[in-house]
Amino acid sequence: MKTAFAFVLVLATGAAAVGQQQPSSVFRTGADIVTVEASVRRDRRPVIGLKAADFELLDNGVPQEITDISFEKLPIDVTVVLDVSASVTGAALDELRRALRQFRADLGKQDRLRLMTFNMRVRRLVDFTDAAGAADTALASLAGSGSSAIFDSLAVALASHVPPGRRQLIVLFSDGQDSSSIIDADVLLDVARRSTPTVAIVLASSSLQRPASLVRTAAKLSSATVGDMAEQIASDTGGFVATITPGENLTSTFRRVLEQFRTSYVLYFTPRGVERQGSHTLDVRVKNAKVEIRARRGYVWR
Amino acid sequence: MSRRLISLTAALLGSIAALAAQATPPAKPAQSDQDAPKPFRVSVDVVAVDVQVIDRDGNPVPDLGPEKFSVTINGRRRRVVSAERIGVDEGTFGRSGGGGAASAYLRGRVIVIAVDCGSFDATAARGVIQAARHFVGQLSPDDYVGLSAYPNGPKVDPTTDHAAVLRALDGVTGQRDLAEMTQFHVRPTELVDITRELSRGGGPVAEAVLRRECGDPVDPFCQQRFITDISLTALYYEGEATASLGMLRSLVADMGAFTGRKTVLLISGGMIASDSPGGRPNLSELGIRVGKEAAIANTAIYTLFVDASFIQRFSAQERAGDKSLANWNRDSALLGRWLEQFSGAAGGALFSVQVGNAEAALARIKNELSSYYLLGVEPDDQDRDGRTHEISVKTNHPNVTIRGRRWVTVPLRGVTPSRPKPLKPTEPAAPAPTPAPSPAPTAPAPRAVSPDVQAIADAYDRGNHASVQKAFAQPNNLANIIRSFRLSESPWPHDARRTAVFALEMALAGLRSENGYARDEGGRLLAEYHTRVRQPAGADDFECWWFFTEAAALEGLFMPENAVLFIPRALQRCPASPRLHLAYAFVSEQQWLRGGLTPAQELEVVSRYEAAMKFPQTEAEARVRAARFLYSLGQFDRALDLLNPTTAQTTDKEVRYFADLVRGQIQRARGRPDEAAAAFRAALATWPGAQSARVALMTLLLTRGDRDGAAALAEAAQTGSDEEFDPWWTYWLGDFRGYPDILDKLRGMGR
Repeated sequence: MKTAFAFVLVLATGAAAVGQQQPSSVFRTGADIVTVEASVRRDRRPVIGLKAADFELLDNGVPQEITDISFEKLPIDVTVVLDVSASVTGAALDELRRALRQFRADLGKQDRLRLMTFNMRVRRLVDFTDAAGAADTALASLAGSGSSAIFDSLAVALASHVPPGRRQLIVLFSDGQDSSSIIDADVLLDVARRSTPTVAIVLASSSLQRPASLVRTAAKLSSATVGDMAEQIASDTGGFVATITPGENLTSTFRRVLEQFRTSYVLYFTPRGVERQGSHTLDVRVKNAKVEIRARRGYVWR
Repeated sequence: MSRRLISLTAALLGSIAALAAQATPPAKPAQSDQDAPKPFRVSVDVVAVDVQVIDRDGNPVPDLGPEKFSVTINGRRRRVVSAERIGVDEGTFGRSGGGGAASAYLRGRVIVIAVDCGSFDATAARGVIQAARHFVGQLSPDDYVGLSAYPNGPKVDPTTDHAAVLRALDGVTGQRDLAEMTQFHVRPTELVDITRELSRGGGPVAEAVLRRECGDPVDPFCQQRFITDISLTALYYEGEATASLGMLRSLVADMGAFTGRKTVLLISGGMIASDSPGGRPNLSELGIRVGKEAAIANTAIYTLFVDASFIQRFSAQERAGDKSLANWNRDSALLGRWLEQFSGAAGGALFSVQVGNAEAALARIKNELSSYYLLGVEPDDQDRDGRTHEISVKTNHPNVTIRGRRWVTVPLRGVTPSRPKPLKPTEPAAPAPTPAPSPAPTAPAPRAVSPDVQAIADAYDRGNHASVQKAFAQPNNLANIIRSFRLSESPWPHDARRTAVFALEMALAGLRSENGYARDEGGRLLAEYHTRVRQPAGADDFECWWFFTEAAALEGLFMPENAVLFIPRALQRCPASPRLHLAYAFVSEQQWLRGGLTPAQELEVVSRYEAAMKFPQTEAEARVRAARFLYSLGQFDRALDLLNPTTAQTTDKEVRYFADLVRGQIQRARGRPDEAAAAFRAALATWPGAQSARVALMTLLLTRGDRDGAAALAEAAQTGSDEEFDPWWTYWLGDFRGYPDILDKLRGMGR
């Protein structure tokens, strides 16, 4: 199981609305604020109590002033994207149902859950605003069949509308390769870089060395493995990859995913000294400390 | 003239004869055909056993009495009460010992020439056919000669009209598949050794050949493909051999319906069979089973193994492989091994000759057939159980060889089995011999259909295909069901088409199974019927549609390695089938998806699509698929050129949708987002609600900064109706997208 983690939230535009729904969160005005989520850990435990001055943030190599920081304040929207192709059946599916019930119970009062499933077809079974009982019904109805459009389904989750003032986490659970998406790995990665949510990917360890897609294309990432692809998406969105082995407790894995996302800092800055339009690279560090830090590697400003 | 008639012979040969050799006074030689002997009076039931005794030069040995023979049944010695020598002419007559001399003139022998056309190429076959013609020309005019060329070729029932047989022989051609079995250069010995080693996790031969074929260090893609190819090639050979042996079994069964001793002269180029445990192709006991059935049918099989391996070693494919001379000799032995399993079991023999050198062997066979001894053997009561027993005949005469059947059935005492049918009375040559009544059958028991198979066949007859599929879905029993279907008679013995359709569905169920044994049996069955379905007069609509159904199913199962074994062979039979051309291109692309193809092989994929573009029925789809393939290779401009008005105006809505979708992908890759967006919108117009078109457009809008537009499409994609279908979901299944209709049509043709 990978221990690296990082969470990022980018609000490239429209940040004026931040906090409108959640008065307890940091309030900001203006349209040019970028938020970056950063997970800081030492010996696998979250490092708490850090201030803005403890961080160093470079945008396209230019140091930026962190104007504010928050920790465990913003409510979380979690989109769980489940692979229900033919390869996820029987005991694995039962374990998945159990883990998701616990995952829902672990969410805070202000947190919300959206449940999407996919095989070749992507479907939203539960939306953020649905009643709690809808999730139980949806979980009971899960059945595995068909091929896997992993790329398309993750792209749909990433491109979905993002409500303001809430942190966005997508948890993708899959056991294997893409076999029926229309988009390729390059397009998916581009979508991930342009989108707000952090992506955490829970994978079967046995699938890591397989090709990420059965459909070969001229894409640069055409020959990437499942593990490579997952790591790339996770690191570019500030998320992380959790691998599970057969028989491993999926409930605890999902709980760890949520915990790691919850215990990350949200850094706010307004880009200065750099060209706003286009792609930006980000580099986040903690001054004078030996810690593990994961944060989004970049963002796209339009 | 001292001769006895064929009627006596026919009464005795290969059956339980009612003889009273000891109690009967020596019979006087018959003076003429009309002077036919009466059946012997019965005082002791004896088994009639015919054997040939030949010297080192293949000449029949005369003048042996019963005291010269020793016979055992199930290893226990039995008394030989008489020995009568039967010959084709006076010169072969001799005396028999024991109770007195009894000689007979051998007339009206039944000899069927069987040619395994699938084991020869056209070149090798020419010399073989010429030799066979010579052989027929030397037979006695009153001999009944038949011809059975399989899997596709002329068939002539035994007749004295030898000219008709000679004419039919002119229509026999070599039909060995020339399509390469695999891209790798693997010789028979290597195939056997590698499969044996792989079953144990690997070994030196596999490692050496892998290095030769896949480089050093071994390319992992190539290795994976090599192992798959080796396994499938073995499976294909097993199926092909089963088909060949199956047709031989049918011939033997037909022969058993005639009275007396019969001979099959099998001419074969051989087929690879493993000579070591764990190696493949593994024909198991099938060859032995054929031998047993032939023995019971009193049909001696003389096999002429025309060994073409010497010529093949200079073929392009073989030149690139191993060049060890020791292995060449073993190759030859492997090819003839399965022939050995049944030749001789019923009193025949195996002769191995080089291509173009069959005359001497055929002359020897003719000589051996010129006479034989008919032994009267007294069975014990424990032998009289109606079952098949092992029998062994030996002689104490020096320097001779005995050819005799190894199996015999002794009926229960007092049981009078049904009589075999006499030869056709309408045969043109005169006078046709009149077979004497035979007190015992020579026909082998029919290969009974197992209850499991029969139950499924009954459901199939009722059109209850759901029930059939349910039966096929038993993973633990399916392998047994397929195997028993392969080894028994068809539930529709007189309906080859129905059998072929049923076999296809059963084979595909096996290939779909999670059970490895069922998959193997399915593969064998498919290979067997891929041969059996061939029509003697050339491929007809049924045969070509059977092949197309097979191809569509394999596309849907995503089994390109299997498909590329079968489809090229189907195309040799049905070169004008557009859908087979398209299927060939598509499974080649599926194989490319697996990885490991060379650039030259990638070009072959394109050329196969181009072949399918030449047919109006498949032009549009071939263009779209070729464009998609070239897009995958990064050849965007060439790909775009293929999407012409033909693809835009096709009446196949799914293909039109594919065309727009692929155009959008190509334009996006070419850096033309506006054209790409237009193409994706066109795809959505053709197939509203299609998820793939939505997602493609959604990601494009996101890239261009239209977050709201993208979010709207994302919302539509995840909230669409479950009834909405996206043809893209079946794109990689090829023709399988229309499989239900394809199969229905085949079933209709098979009724």
